[in-house]
Amino acid sequence: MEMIKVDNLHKTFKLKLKTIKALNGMSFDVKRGEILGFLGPNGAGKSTTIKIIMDLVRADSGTAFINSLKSTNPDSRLRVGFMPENPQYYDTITGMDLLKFAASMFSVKDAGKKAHKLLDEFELTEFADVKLRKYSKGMIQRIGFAAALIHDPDILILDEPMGGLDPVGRMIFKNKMKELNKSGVTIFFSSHIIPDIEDICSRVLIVKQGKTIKQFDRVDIQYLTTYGFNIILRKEDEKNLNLNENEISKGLYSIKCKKDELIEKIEAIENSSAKIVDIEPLKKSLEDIFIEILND
Amino acid sequence: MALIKLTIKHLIFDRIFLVLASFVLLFAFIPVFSYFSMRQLQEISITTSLTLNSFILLLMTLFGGTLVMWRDIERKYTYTVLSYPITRTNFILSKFFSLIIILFVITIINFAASIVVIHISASLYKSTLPILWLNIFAAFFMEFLKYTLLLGFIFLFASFSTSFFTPVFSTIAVFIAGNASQGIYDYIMKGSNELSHFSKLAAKLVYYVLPNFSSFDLISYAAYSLPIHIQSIVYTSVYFLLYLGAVLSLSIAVFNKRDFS
Repeated sequence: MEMIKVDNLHKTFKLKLKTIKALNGMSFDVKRGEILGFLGPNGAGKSTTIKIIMDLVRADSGTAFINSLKSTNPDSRLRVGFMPENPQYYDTITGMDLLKFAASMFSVKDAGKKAHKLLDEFELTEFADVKLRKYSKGMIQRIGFAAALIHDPDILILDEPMGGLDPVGRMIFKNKMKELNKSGVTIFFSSHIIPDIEDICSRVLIVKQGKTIKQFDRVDIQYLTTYGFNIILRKEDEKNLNLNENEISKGLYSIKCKKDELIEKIEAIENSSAKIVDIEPLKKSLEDIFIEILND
Repeated sequence: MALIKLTIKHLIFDRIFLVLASFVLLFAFIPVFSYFSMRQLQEISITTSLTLNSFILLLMTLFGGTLVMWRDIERKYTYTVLSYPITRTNFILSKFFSLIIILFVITIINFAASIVVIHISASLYKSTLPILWLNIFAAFFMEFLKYTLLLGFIFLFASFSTSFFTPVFSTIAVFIAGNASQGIYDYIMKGSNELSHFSKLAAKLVYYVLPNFSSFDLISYAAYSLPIHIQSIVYTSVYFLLYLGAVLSLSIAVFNKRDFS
């Protein structure tokens, strides 16, 4: 079932005398229980799409739905937790105030108890009564994430959630996202940090010039990132197999081959006296694939 | 309700707002100032109290309105709030009512301070006029309505503007025009026969489009204990409600079309 559906969105912005086409027929959906990564270069339309889904920007044409409700209907956001890019909050209030405010906007019962639990999870308990103007950028991201979770949402929409976080902060976010997804929360997030997307997403959308140009699920990612294999084999004699094997230690050899040569190489090894010890995939990063796709 | 509470909490801890609120302390100087008037201490203290109240409410309206609307949008606080399940209409009205509450509380504080300073001034030199507290209260209340209406204009200009200056200076222009409109209209309609019918019609149109702030002015009624007709209060209140309704509706309509990109 689709939790979010984006259907043929078009959006043009006018900046002084220039007209910028931000979205040019953006369409995709987010299925229940998945973590969908939204990947694209600057200006590809990621943030505009997210803002249309959250009704912060109105599309020129096309529609976005959350839980089958049009995104212009405020009720569509009842079960959504959202964190914008570089979140900004009223800086004269405390972290606890922000969580209680978020809770009241969703009519959450036991707001205080939930707020304390989230502050604890995001390691902010000792800053609960500190005004937000004194929070660091990383702390603002964490309190923003906590505020997005106060009402136990079914859908999380995060715009560059890990931008500007240190490695420990990113780890906390990723672990929390994985944990939430395991408990059934659907997550849709945009990011520039490709290893993070590769690490946690069950599906990735690649956008360019305001529309989706590719999408991959985990199997696709696994397939596309594997460009070949390294076969490790053991042979007792020193007879050459003519498979371009390289000795890596006494009696152990490695053969590098392309993906489509694997079967052929295995058969050749099995027909010899050598024995296969291990086969390991040779990987390239999602980043390389991303750049290849963009260059296409 | 949560948004109203948050807005008030955010505002009352704001440094600019605290500086403006501290102008209430100027009431302490009113008896001294009135003393220079020789024999009209009571009348001057009433006039000065109402003028100071008007000045504080004007600053609060201009800066409060700008802080609540323009700054919220400029600093992207609106992203957080509008991503919750509330309508933009609800957002604008909550922000507006937050400021109305603050303006009302400040009016009450100013009125309370005025009671003290008018008593002190009146005790220094006995006036031949009685102090009509109901008139003074009515004058304070009408000032509150006047600035609530002006606040509506700040919201209207901030609903489409991305700059700080547009809402502030446009509202100041409306304030000046709204205070002068009655006098200019009377002058054109009664005083001069040289103007063409078209010019008079245009003046009439501008007069009806601009808010008429002079109808909210009861300072002379309060200072000189003149009788206030309840009918004029009712007419002004109805005018206030209709005009404010129109300005807020327009603000909401514009705000509903706005992109937060």
